[in-house]
Amino acid sequence: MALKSVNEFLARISAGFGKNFVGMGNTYPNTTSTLYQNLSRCMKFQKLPSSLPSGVTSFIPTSLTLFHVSGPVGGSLLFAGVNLGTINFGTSSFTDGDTYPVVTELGTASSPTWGPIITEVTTSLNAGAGTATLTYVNQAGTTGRTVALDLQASSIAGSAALQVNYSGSDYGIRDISSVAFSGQSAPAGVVKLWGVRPLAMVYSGASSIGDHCVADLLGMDFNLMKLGINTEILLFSFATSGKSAISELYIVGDN
Amino acid sequence: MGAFDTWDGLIRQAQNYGPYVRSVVQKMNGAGTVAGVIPAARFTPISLPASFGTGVTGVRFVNISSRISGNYNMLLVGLEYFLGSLNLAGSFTDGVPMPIKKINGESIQTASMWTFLSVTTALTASATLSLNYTNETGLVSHTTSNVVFPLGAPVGTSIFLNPSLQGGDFAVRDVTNMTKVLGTTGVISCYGFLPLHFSRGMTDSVSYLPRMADSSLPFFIGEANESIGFMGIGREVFYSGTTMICNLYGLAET
Repeated sequence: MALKSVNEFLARISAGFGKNFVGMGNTYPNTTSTLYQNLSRCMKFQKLPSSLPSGVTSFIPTSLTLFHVSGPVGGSLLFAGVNLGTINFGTSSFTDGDTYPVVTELGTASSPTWGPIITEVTTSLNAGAGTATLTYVNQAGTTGRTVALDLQASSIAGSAALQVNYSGSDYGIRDISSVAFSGQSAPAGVVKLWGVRPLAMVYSGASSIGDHCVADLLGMDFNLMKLGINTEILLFSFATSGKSAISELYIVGDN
Repeated sequence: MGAFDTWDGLIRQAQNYGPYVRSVVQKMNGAGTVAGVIPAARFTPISLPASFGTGVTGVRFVNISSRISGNYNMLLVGLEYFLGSLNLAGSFTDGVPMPIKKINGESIQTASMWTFLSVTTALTASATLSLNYTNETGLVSHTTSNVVFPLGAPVGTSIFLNPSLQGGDFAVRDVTNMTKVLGTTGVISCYGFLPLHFSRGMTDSVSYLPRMADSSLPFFIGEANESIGFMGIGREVFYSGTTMICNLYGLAET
């Protein structure tokens, strides 16, 4: 059926199909990199449930409130992460994940989607981590495209970065096919590769405790998206130093 | 009542047809070269789908958010049209005129108030050129003053063309010729924009003004195979490493 009006969303919430998901954490700067690679941690919200509750067909985020506890001014990107895979520099291996989802888009079923990569360091990279070269499928579906991972050696656990380089005139990635390693010396480190399905961009305008910002995803920040089970929702902060925040995301179960 | 006249209408369009949702991240790779009265740097455009579902005529972007790094930069996001190019070792190649777009139900011949010259093949020497064009009211054979690109300008170096338009003109409907005054090799292309979104703020900050409240720009509809272009504007925009992120959320126009 699907919820198709504001009143239907309200009725759905009254019937008990809404829930707050809380996210919190500190972010850490990646001091080895330049701007936009010197970025902070992906703060994670609670993972969405591993199965659909009875009567629910998908999860629709409707609002985000971000409480900025400390740290510099700056923006944050709220997104639903696509697990593109994990790179283990220590064992020089790649564990493949998912592709960017195939969705119904503008009336066309089974439309492939594409986007950027956000890299999250889950185990610190040491100085000998070397270079990882991604082989990927680009936005048009062309296979065999290659580019070196931007993330630099000695990046610390908890830091994250935008992958800003692509092969040639590519501007997006559908899938990571494989990873090759070079220049390694007693390497260590693990990096998770996240695809980005954007939900909202918010801005913390003050550095004092208590500042908060709100994104109304069914209103002025309209961004209705249907998310599936096990979706991880992350908050990526554009900041050159660490910050702390608590976030609250309200989600309604579609019917 | 139109599909976009109510919040319920937006919800129905999203649920019935599925939204177009993308995040675009790009970095400027050129060396720092400032050109023109208002310098700019062209990022790689993206292509909209080649076709849409039954009954869908295009995509209406109801929410665009963006950020561009560096101080004193702004980012223009818009429908981008190739108006023509000049090969400095050869000749002029004509592009397309600015399109006719339906705005509030009326078909309007558009003209680009945001027209840029961009280096699309790197220059090996400085270059000077002028353009012949049709202005916003349809007057033909108007001519710009000379526009100068600096020595060795790399791909992406751009100049905002409007200060060079013939007196009284403020927009370009069509480029009919580009003439080399000075230069050896390289290609300079002319692009017109129908703006969808501007990043705001003069510092390294997020622009997230919702489109629904942004009444300064009409909702130009993106049609099949059209390009969404990204133009960084400002004196610091062409530093190597200048990066932009833009999130696009569009609904089916029916």
